[in-house]
Amino acid sequence: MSAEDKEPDERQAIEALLPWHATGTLRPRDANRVEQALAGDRELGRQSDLVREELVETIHLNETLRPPSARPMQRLFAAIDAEARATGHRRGLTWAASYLSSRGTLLRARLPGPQPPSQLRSWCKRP
Amino acid sequence: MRSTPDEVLIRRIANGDRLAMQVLYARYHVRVFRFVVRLVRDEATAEDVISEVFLDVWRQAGRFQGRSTVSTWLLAIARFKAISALKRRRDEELDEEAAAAIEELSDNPATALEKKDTGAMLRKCLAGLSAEHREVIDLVYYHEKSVEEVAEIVGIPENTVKTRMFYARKRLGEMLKSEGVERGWP
Repeated sequence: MSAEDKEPDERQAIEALLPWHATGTLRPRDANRVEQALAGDRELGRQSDLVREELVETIHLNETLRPPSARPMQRLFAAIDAEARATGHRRGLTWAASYLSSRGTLLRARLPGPQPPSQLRSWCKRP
Repeated sequence: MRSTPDEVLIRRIANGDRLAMQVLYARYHVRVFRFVVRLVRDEATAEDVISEVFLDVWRQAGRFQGRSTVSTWLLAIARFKAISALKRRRDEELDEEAAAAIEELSDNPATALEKKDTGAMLRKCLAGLSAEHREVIDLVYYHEKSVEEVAEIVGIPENTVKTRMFYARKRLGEMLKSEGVERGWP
């Protein structure tokens, strides 16, 4: 059975796959379906030629667009550096807070805190 | 020499490796820029968008799970940012832009010469397609994305991707026909 004899839905489905067939990005099963249909259908082959024309000109069109200036790269890395500085600053603050907190604990440990009542002290010393 | 795989670069970026970020930027910024500039039709806006895209990559690299390729992930972020940039534009600006796109397609002194060159006419009509149609055509033909990848980038079902591509091509054929280029389809 040639592709021309196939149900219109099946033929349309194959036509719809032609752009991906041209770029080689079809799943193997779909690629085989298209290959088989192309082998027996000249009209589909002509369609495939049109797709290839579109493919070539789309690449041409995109490749003639100028590349971006250095501005976005400068902006990006300035933002990254600013974030790194902010993170470093935050890290510094976190470290300082942690350091001060630990010093505070040590200082508190050295200071005479509230003492337990004398009866309790003597009870604790019992064997 | 084998280049560092994209996924490795992303892991290094997640660990704060600035050099890996520079490599990834060098590898993809032109493609991402071209994708965005074709959507927003303004180079300055597209440049702003690509800074935002790569800054997002810097911040979100740790969340990349490798379910899609890095280029698909980048284009999905770029598309989201481009649409946000377009939304920021006023409606009248968009109307003016649409009018300009139509004007670009109308005859000018060079048109008579261009009509002899189907390739040039084709490029002119590709530039005049709607944003939705330009997007799908670029993703398939230029960025070589599969049906599944386009579905992921655009956020639509795979069948819709195929239908949208079909109608984009059909519209392209109609535009060519109205410019005097008969391809026999549609």
